[in-house]
Amino acid sequence: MSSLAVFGLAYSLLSSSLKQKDRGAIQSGLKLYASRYQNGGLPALVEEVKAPHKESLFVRVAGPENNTVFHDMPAEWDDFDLKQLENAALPGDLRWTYLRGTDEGDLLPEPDMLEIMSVTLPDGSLLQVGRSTEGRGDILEYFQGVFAIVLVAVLGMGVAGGVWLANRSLRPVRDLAGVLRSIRQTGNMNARVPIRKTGDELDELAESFNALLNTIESLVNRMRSALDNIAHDLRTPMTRLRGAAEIALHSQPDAETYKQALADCLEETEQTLTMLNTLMDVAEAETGALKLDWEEVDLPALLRGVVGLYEHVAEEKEITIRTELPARLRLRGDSKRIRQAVANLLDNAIKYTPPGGRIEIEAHPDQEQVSISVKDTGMGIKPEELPKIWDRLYRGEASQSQRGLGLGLSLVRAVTLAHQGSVETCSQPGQGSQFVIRLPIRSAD
Amino acid sequence: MRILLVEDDKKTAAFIAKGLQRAGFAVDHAANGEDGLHLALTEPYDAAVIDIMLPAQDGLSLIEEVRRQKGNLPVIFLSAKRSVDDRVRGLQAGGDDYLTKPFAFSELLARVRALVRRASNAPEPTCLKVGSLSLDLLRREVVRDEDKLDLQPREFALLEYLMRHSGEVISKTMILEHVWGYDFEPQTNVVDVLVCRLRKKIGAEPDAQIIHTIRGVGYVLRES
Repeated sequence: MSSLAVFGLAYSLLSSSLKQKDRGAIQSGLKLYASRYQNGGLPALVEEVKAPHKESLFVRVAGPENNTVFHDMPAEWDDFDLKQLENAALPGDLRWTYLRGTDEGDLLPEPDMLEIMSVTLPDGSLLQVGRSTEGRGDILEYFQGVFAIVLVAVLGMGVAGGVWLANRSLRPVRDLAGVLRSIRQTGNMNARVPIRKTGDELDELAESFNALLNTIESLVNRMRSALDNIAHDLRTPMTRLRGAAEIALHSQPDAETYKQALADCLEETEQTLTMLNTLMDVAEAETGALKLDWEEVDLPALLRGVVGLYEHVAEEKEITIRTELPARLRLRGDSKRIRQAVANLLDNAIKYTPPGGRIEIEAHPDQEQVSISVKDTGMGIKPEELPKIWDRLYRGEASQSQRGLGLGLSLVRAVTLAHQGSVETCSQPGQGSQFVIRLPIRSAD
Repeated sequence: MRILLVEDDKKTAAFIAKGLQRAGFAVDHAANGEDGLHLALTEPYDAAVIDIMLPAQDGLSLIEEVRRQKGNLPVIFLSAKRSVDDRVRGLQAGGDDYLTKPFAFSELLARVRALVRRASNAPEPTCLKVGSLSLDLLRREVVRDEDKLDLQPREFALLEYLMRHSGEVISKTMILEHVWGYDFEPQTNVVDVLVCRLRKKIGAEPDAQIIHTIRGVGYVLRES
């Protein structure tokens, strides 16, 4: 489009400047011949006409009745019928008249014209000087030709460039589709969309697509490993279960032995079930699939309930539990899960605090969060063990002698994470440990 | 007492039926929802034990249909799913009960008994007596052989619960639920500790204990 407009402008400029030039030549010729005629009559004019000139001009001298007295037509423009000039009405002085060419006639859209200016000489005869538009028509035609070629070239380049550009800009989309196809067909999650580092929208799309793939891959891997671990963790109690039954079956038939074995099996089953449930909770929370029952939680009441659960156990062990709770503190969460998490912390605290020790449970609002702290005067955790305590089934040196599955803290962390909260610990070996759970309040209260 | 059991797994159905029969209930078993619905509509039952996931018709729609056509039938639902369905929760609020598989049979039995008892609208006793032990619910006093026992509220609650179900095996889960209102088992055995304290306060010789431990299952209060 723009090239067409440029061409249009150039064409009209060129054509008008050519017209100006032609008209200038005609006017100066007219002046020259008129002065020759005035000074030396027709012979002087004829002589002047015959003399070589830079520009070819048509010259005609007519008598008062418009009868041609003399005319000279350059050889290259012979296709004009001069009779028309004789028959035409007398043109006014210094007016432009046009004589249509005869040869090509009406066939051409812009036939050659003879552009003529006339002047009445003092003796009453008419001097006409003209010029064919053929020359400038040729130039314009040439110009058009050149332009047509240029236009075709430009168009071709435009189309080719467009195809190339579209091709290039669609390549990321094709890459993306290809990666999707390969993942669907092979199930291999390793494929990634190449990033071209152009920083455009398609790059952004490819990047977020890769990020999505990363998330899915890590989720799948984590679920896979969780499944592997659960299968592995179930094998141990299953072995014990099987062993107990088998040994009883092979021993002397004795009611008491059988009873004992069956009771062992029952206990083992119970423990396996508890473990399976906890493992499922931890695995679900780790993969972000733990479903919470959101409700308004009355935290002080919940914490008092948990303390009530361990009241007698603590009393037996001569451990004092001190609570410092606000009168009112509500948050949105899953009360059953929070209770479970706090119970696990308190359970640990009682387990690892020697008789005569003290446990402090505090809760207070902290900006948009509540923090629940469980602090004991127990044996503490060694610094090298600290990072490992959250791992599934990790059991520290000190806990080997205690009843437990090594899932308590994993569950605490899982529940906290499911609530978009955090849990942290600080511990001094020999001084005690402190665990702090922070949960978002999310309530208008 | 007649119980309808709708359960598609044969082995599970067999052990439930056997256990309930031994506890003195008459049991009719249906292996799918359609047969179960037919039985429930044509025979009189005191309570039903129904698996939620059943072939042909699920347990929930079965019981909804029974209630529409015949009126109330107290139900214990069995489910292998850990998460409780909202519909079940609604039914729980209406007095029905829910158990997750696998469960302790003693727990199912205790729940069936409780359900039947509730439905029969038996008058609440004000005083419970087992052997030389008597518990006054109004004055909240426990007396053994003329001696008043000094019990803490949770110890009282546990004894009351065991005495109400004397002769029945009560699981730790059930004690947790009734005494503390908890539905998960903490790692430390808080129930053991409470039972131990209660035993000391009742103060019988070890061989004359009335609270017996059934290993792997729970506790039972029985006259020695």
